[in-house]
Amino acid sequence: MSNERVATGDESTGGWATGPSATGPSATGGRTTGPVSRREFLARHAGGVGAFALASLLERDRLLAAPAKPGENLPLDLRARQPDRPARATAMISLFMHGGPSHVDLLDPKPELSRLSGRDYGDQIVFSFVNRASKKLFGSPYRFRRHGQSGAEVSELLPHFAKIVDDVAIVRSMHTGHNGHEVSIRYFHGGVAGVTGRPTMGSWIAYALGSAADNLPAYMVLADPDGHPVDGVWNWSSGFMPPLYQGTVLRPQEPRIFNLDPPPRLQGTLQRQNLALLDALNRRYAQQHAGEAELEARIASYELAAAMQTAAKEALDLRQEPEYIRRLYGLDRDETRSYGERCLLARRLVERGVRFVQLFLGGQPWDNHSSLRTALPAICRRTDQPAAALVADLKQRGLLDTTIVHWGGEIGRLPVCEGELNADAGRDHNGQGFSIWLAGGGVRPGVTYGATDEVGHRAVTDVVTPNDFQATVLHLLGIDHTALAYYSNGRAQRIVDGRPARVVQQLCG
Amino acid sequence: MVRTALLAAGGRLALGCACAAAVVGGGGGEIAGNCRASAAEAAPSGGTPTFETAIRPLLKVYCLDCHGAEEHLEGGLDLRLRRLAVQGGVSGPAVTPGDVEASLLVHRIRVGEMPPAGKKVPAESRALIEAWIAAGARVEREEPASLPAGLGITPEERAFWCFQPLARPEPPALDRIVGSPGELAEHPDADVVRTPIDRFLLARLRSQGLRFSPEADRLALVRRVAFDLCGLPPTPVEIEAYLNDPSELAYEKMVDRFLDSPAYGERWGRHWLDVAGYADSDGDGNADTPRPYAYKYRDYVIRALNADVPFDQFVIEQLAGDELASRPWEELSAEQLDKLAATGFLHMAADATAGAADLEEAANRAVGDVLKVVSTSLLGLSVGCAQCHDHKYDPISQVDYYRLRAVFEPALDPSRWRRPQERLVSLSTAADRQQAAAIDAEVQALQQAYQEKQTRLVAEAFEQNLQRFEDALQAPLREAFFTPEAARTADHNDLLLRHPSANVSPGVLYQYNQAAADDLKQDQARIDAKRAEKPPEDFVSVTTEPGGGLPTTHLFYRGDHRDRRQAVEPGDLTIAAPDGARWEFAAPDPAGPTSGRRLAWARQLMSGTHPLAGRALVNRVWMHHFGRGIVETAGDLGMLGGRPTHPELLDWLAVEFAAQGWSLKQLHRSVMHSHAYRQSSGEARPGAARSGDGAAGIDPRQVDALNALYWKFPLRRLEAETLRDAMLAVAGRLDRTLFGPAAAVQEDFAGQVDAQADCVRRSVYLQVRRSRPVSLLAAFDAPVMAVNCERRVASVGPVQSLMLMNNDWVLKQAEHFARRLRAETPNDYAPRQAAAFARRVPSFAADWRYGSGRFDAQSGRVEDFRPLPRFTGEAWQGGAELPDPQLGGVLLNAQGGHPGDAAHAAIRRWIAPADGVASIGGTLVHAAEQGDGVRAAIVSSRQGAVGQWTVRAGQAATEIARIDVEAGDAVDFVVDGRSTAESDAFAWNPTIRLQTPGDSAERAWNATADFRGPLGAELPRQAAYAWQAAYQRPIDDGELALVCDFLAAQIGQLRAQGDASDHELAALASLCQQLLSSHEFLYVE
Repeated sequence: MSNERVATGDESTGGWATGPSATGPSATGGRTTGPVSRREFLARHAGGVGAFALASLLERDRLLAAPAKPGENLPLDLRARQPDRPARATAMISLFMHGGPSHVDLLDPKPELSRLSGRDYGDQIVFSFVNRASKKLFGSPYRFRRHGQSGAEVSELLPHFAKIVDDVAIVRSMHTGHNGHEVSIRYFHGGVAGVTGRPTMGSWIAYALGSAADNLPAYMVLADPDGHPVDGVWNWSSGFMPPLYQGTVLRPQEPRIFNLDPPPRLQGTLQRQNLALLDALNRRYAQQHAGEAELEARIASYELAAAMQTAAKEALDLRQEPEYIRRLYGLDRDETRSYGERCLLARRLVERGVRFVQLFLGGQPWDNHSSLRTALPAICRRTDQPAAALVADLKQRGLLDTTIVHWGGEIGRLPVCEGELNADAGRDHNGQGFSIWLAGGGVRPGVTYGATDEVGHRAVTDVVTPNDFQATVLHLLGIDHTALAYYSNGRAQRIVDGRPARVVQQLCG
Repeated sequence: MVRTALLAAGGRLALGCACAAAVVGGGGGEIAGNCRASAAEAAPSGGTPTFETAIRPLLKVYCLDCHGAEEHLEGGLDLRLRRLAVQGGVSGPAVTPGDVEASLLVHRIRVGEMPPAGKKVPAESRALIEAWIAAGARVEREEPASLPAGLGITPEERAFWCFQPLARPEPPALDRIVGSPGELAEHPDADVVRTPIDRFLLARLRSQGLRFSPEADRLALVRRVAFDLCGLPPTPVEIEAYLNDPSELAYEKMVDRFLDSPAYGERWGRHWLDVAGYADSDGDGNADTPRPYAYKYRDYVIRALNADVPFDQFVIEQLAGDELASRPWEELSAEQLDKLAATGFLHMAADATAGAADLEEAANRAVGDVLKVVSTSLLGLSVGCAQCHDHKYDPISQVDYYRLRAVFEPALDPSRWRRPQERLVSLSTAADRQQAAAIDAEVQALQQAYQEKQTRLVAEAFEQNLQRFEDALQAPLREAFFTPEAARTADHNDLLLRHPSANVSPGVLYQYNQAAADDLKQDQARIDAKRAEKPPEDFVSVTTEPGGGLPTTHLFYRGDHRDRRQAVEPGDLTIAAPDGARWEFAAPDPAGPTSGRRLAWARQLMSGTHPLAGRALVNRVWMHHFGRGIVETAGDLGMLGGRPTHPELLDWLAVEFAAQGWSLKQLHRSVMHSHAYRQSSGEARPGAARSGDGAAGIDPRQVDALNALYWKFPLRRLEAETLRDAMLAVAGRLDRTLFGPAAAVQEDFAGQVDAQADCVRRSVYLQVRRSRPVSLLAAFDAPVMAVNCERRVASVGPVQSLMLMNNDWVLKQAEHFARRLRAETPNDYAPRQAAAFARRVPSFAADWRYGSGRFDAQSGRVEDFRPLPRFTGEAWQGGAELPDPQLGGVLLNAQGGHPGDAAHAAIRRWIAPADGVASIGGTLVHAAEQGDGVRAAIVSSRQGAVGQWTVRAGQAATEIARIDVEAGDAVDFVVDGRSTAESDAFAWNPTIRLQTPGDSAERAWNATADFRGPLGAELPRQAAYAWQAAYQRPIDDGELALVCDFLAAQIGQLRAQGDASDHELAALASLCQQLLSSHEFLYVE
């Protein structure tokens, strides 16, 4: 796949022989090019403190060789940590629209596709449903209009989103190179196409930054009452990292979080008594084993767990929200209530210091192999208002500045129809080009970035891969994706696993 | 929706260049740090860096891929030698000695042009290169006039510690360790030198001014050894046997007893299964198809370890058991079966070939994973990096990688891949087959009879049904119907189509003749039953070579299996043999069924001289004993791994292991007999006093916070499986059955995975479904088998805490534990504690008290209330005998009681738990005709008597509509005998209803239902015994006080909430749960 990828400016660098000839040895920022004394050299290149600098450098090297520290991990806890670079965002909400929202019907208008609708597509297409494959181009049945000051073009299916376009960056050049759901969804979450068993992006963020809340998990997943996405619980696995970093599932019904509470008859005073006894026993033991940091950490983790019980319940109590907020998210209507509640919960969680919240849908509603004319409007009606409300609500609370909101699936859909081009027509999978949007947390607002070809089949301009997406999101959170490492199985593991990945600066405000 | 196969990912990417990450991450990642480290390490002390020691390792990471590794040199630049760098390429010299600014190498790095593709040379590394150039670009020695192609192995790389030939170092002599002979005697408790291991360790400790800790006490030792060797808490018998053994070798005997336990193989087998990547499923995407026979490999491992199969044999069987097992593979003997099952090692890796769209890609990925398992477990190196290019840090060329692959390719050949279900060898015996054949014959006979009968019945039904048709149609329909389908004419078909109801078939026979259909059904059931008598066929999954010629192994350019380059011959890693002495394979025996490559390599690996295998294996054993390896990165002894804390000890152990006949149990003994292992893990004590400065010591934590030098035994948390097993053991539920198919797991909505049907077998027998790791185990860091696990982490976090606090399974085990305490606590256990408990909580019964006293009718008050001291099991009374000399005949039981004399009325006292309004009901009965009857009163401590009754040979309703009470008020139900207490037995069952303000629920008490003896009479004994069961030690007084208060509070609370459960049991279960969640349970000293 990397060989399919369109090279970007960041990657195209000259070799030793073919490098730009203008930059010869003398072009070093106006510095002298004559012989440099060792002393001068050190003064200039080793921090200006002379020979001691090098000595200390070597000393540090020696220390790094100390046997106790092969590839050291960050502390394996959830204490809040400062990122290694200035951060724009401190949290992220990902509205994961798995199944493959049809970009050419939602965010990526294609007049040419409409013009050619019904004609055969001339180019190669990889189909997933070969038995229903068709090469007939299928112009979008939906109208696009420009909105906001930015003039972003949005389909009539997303009237609420249309109102927030000036806060959003639309990316129209997403590319996984794989049309299948699993392969691409794993690419988005774990950094490697098709591979499970890796920590998901939430895990990396939790590992890097810890939790900003001292009483809530760092990484939470809001599950849909209709079930899990493909791959189920792998979607929030911590892979080779400790379970500390896996997503905590918030179920759509009680018990909302597993193991959060004891059975009802043991709640309240009884549990307080239990924890008090446990604490007393543990403190006695820790005293007898002074200096064992892990014992102290475990005592603290019980305290955190107990605090979580109260904090989580408080965070989940939507009754605290005023009526206008409930209406904003569509809690007053059957169609939007379920997704609206979860979007509102996501805001409440982030407000309370959760670093990464991800919303999933059950039953692949975006996977419109047929009935594009009915199924796609239906899922838009369920999700459009709540998603837009989330951005608007975060903004009015001043939280949007520090919270990245991500909307998007793992793939998009083909410009040709699946099955017959009739009222029931649908579209097959397309990982070659599709759209997502990002808002807040330092994302440059009001931009539309990248482009697909004239019919929306392939990303052709400013291609963004899931790895680029990860690098960019981590960058906004103050994390250098090339530096953040977890040492496991004898090597330093990184989110993009060594693949080319660039921070898309044009998306960063 | 389309569910794309797991491995649809493009081959090139999917094979993934694992170590590119290290390069990309060079901007500050630890790997670059380590690389620099190794360079600096090798640098001559005090001197400036030289090309060989410091610069070439850096260039290898960032530059040599394109500028030296391959015959084609980018830009004509070769950086393998300093002189070639100076000579330069098309753009001119890359290095100008002494002139940093003029050096193109530095420039290109500075401006970020090199290395390409966004990789970066970290600033520190760049500074090193600059310093080297500035100092004249020194070399260590004269450079050769010519170089063979490729990177080769430099003398510096060859000098790396783990590639050195194995030799047996002499343990440091005692006088070398302690300096003066008398000094050892000064610290007899701490500086015990029991075995050579102690000498190696103490020498290091002494060099840092530290010393050992004293020996742990016997209780700690037996617990340590039991968990370490068997993964279970020691039983009382095991503890007593050791505590009461006066012999000098008591400890050694105790160790041997645990080594002899079958649980030993389960525990240490689990360790090996970690590195083997054991799983009961294929890892093929969402299906994650179960591997129903994988357990035979797991059982082989357990059996082999229990039998102390020499480790060389153990490894050889796993790599080449099929080449050892005599053929044919029919009627397998136990020995054959073992050898074949052992080869499961080579297909433990995930294998998604069963449903893969791209079989070759999936197969190549599986081979890559197998090689990773083999190399990390047996070589202690991660060779995977060399799949795509020469290893950037270790001297492992890409050719070496494919040579190693060629050892396995005859058995693991992607072009002739055997999918998981194609590797099965039947375990049927001739008798099984004979029996099966006999049954098949019977079934066939039955089946034939069935067919005939069915045909006949269908024909009969047809004929009968035909009568419904008009006469003229009957003959043509009959003809069409009985003409075989293939021979029917168009007219026939047309006729039948027009008259569908004429077309009787076996499937719809029931619609025509229900009785006939039922009859056939019964016959079918008989046939099925007969078929079921066939013995189920069992299989073992075997890795072997399909035969039919040897495949040619090719190097894959950049690791892409579609881009094959030169053919390579099988071989071991070049670096594993001395320079110029590469180990060669013998030519295969043309008559043999296999190539013999794996067997030959395995034997060479386990010859006792292999520098990597020996060190890797003993390091792993050490790691399991001490929680960290002598090299901390047990799967990587190479440049990127850690350095040995005690290199000589590691070598000594490796040589000893082979010399002792590869007996793992002997290796355990030599480790566990050491003082280092027997040390206490307790508080840090000041280290060895240095001569001359008196008692002033060194705090070991300041010097060696990580305890890398073993100044104490490390405190270790139970591993996931051990934690679950220990909980089950303590709860009295652990099923100790050995071996057998994996116990299935199931997943619920939120992804919580548990064993099905509350399976209570040891965790090693739970199904390892890659996609469904058991939640409890995963929470405590059991590996999720993506490939394998070389070293577990021990994390701490709220996921674990919540699991222990609230998880249903944990709560259930706590309750089982409580029930076990009730059933098993000896009657005479801990009498002192029981007494102390009674003293501490005298009025343990919270709401009801049973006593005697005097009712003063005038004041309406109760005076001199005293609890009745004696409980008989049915009644409270004054003493063992009635009447009691002091208290007379007073007694209270569930139904009522008997008063004593006038000063000793029978008084049942209720204490109000809260403010509120109470109402009282009930009936007082006095049955006897004799005597003067009884007088009863209900007396509130706040309001005095609120009701009085006198009853003789009759009854009275004792109802009070309303009493206002405050928390702590007493309401007494007093009965005295009037003038005489003769024949004054009474029955009285008062009920109390209490309404508290702000609480809509009413609470109720009933004297009969609530009646009980001294609450908690057995509780302290049981609580004390809980300590013994959970911690294997007696409870201490401080803990007892804590527990008494806890139980009292908890029972009080249960009552206050009107909990319907058995309060004592519930409180005990809560106590048990806290013990199971506590440090002392989770950690082993």
